[in-house]
Amino acid sequence: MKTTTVNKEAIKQAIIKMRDDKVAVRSFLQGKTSAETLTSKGIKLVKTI
Amino acid sequence: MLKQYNYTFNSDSGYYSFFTKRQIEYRVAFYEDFTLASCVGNDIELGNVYQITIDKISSRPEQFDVLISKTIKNIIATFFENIHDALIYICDDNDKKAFQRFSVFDRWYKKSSMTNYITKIDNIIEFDSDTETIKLYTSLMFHTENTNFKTITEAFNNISNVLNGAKP
Repeated sequence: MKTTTVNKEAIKQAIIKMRDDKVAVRSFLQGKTSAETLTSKGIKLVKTI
Repeated sequence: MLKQYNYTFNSDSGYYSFFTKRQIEYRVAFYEDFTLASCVGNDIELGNVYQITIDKISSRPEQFDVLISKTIKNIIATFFENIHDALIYICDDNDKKAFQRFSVFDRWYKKSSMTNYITKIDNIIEFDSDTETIKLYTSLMFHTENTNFKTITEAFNNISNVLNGAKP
């Protein structure tokens, strides 16, 4: 793997987004958030199977 | 005798679902996750990385039902038929029950045949943001034949290394 400079603040923001994405998807699965809201947050549910 | 519950994919909504014998619905969603991509350079290949969320769609308490874990394990095992995809599972500790959920997921994994061909590495992430202390229990899973396993693992480990001040 090449040496890469990784920005600590960028990683914090990525972790926060990862957490927030899960919160939004859980809310969607519970029927409390619309699909449009997920889309606006850049969350894309996929058929993997 | 049932070996697992039948699950279906809701193409309109984008999630998988199944009903238990007590008519409690579980929903499972996969979605793209770019957290690891933020830990490596743009020119480093990671393959597709997804996050999984599993939710019980009822406030009714569920009795112990081994078919639930068998069904979810089957969904995850089928996911890894594409050996180049990786999966992230996280538990947020905002309700102080994350470790409990994390332990259940770990127990499911360790009791399954997936241990023969799926690697799981865990990482507890904790840091202060501007407004709160964030604590996440995270797991990364990937197929043992995933050709990107080295970069995926290093990216995952970079998270704690960078947050703890170590050089990536």
